Amino acid sequence: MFEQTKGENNVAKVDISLIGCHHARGHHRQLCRTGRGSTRRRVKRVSLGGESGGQITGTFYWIQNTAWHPVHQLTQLSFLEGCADQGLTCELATTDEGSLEAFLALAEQTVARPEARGIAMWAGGLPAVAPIIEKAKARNIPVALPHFPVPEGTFADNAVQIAADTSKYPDDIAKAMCDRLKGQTGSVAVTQNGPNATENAVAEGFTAGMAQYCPDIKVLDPQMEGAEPTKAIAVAVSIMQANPDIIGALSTTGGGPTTWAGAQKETGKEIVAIGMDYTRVNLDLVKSGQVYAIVAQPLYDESKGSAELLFKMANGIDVPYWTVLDAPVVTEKDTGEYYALLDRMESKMRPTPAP
Amino acid sequence: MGRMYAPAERKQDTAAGREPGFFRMLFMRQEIAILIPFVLITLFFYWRNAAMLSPLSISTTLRTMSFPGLIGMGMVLLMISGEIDLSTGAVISLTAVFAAWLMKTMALPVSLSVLLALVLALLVGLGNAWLTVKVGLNSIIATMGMQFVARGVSYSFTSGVPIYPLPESVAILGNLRPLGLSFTFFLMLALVVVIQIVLNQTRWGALIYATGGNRMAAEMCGINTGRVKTVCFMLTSFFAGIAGLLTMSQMPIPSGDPIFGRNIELDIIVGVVVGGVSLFGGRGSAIGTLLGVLLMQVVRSGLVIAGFDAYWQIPALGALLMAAASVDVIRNRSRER
Repeated sequence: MFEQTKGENNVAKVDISLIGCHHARGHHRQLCRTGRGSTRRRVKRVSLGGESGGQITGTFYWIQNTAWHPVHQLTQLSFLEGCADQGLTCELATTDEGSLEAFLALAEQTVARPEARGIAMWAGGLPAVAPIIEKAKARNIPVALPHFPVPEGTFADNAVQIAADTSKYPDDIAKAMCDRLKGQTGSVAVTQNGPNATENAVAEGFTAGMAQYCPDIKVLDPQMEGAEPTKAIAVAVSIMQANPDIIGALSTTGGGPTTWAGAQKETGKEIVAIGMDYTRVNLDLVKSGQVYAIVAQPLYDESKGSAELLFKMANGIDVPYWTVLDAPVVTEKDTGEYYALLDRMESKMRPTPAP
Repeated sequence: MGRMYAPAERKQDTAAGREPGFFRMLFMRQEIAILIPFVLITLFFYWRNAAMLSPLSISTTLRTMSFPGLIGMGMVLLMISGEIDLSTGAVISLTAVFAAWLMKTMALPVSLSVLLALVLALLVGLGNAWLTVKVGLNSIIATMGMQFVARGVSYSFTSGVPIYPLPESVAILGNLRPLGLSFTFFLMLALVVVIQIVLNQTRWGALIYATGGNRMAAEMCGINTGRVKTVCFMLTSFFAGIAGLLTMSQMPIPSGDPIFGRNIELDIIVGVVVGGVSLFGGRGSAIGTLLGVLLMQVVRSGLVIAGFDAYWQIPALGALLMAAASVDVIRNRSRER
């Protein structure tokens, strides 16, 4: 699927000093806070010479597989918003297929496009994209890598990343969990969709944080819940059966809130459950009290921010290797701004078939 | 206890002049054979953690196995008839999102939406049958293609986002807990009885066994094997459709979610094969399937309850499948000798 947004190229916008900080409200706060703080911890100036002083020609691409997924659709639309703000000509280079092979083929084709001027890749931090980034470098194409942080030096130096720090925000989740469970003892479960670097890091960081903030509470070894809800709920129920002292649960995946709400419904036992991602179902589960909180991974900001990073790099402006974003823990009282964001973005998603 | 194999096959054994010994008989009767590992595995998990046999564990295990068990009742018919259906997971998703779409977008009554969704499931089954029986595609290929089509349509119906809120009445069946179990469990149990009777006591059962046992011979005897298979395909999809609607009903927030049923068809097939349904067709029973699916769920839950590393769950299920399929092949050879 190729979807395009066109705007007037405007290099005057390079004056924006920190990504997104002209918006100081709502979800944009995430970007602003980190722009002033942690972003500067890991500064590696990346610049590709660019077209400073002239108009940017060419097209900027968002490359992603599993394009139908609502979270992915949100990121696509966010990227296009970022492009519109920067006056960039952007296209979505996406596939509904979920395989790595399909993604790599798409990325190869996109980098080879003569009009390609910059690419943002939802690449999962996988080493398999390294040769593609090298090819992009050979063509002087900057690359933005949102969401999946990898150590600097993993890829060629034309690539920068924008993502929450998986070594930091699990600590915030542990704090929130411990605050909520203050004075209680028992065990807390951790479930993942599957084994992958990001979820593993979140699980490990959360376990370490819990040990620090509430050492009397035992954190169980992670279990894999998978993506299918009925099977995921069955896994969560099994965990609750095996651990009668369970008082809380963290799921490191976006299906987690449904999983743990379902498990509580099945067992009739209430626990403090925290899951990931501000999808509408998840927000509704938080709002209804079935789930205590969700972790708002910065999907909007990192996707929109990718466009801004590409704009800067294409203009020869230095950017840090890692633009670190917050992933706040969102409880019922904080859900409003995320509902507002979804109201705005969901209306632009692929339409449901009309009668 | 249900019969493991059809009367015709039993005659083959006796015709060969062999009186099977006690252990051989046990081995040949999958329903009994499966009880041995079932008991041993359950006791092992119980030894690791007594919570395995707590009333809550048992009721949850039974509730959870209801969905694959329900679809398994269609699959057992289909596989006995010599075919297989890989689209059941996608049909779960398709019927749920279609019904939800009818209720929410088209504002149709719940009952009519459910009815139309089940008609859609039957049409999917008919499509599978047409591709397999009329066009002549291998059912693995035909139903795999249908899986992609159905799943893709589900996503396009929903834009990937669950369809909700739905009328409150949608949650009624999902919230029912008769005897601490679920409506789905008792529906599945009723189907096990009906399917077992159909297979054992009715002409239709004999036709299904004959079709899967030796299609050419069955056709020479005047059996319309295409019609038998078509009915089996449609029933499998129909049961998958019911499972989709019940899944929708029991979610914390009832919704039509395109992710429902993802990869569940493999669990069903593994359960059915473990339950003694032959991959070669012509052999199997509803009770065996019930036990196979139950064993699968006991292993899944037991590995978690017993505190095994999460990574061991998938290999354990794979090992079960390989063991069951090997037993099937060995029995097949043994029967041929």
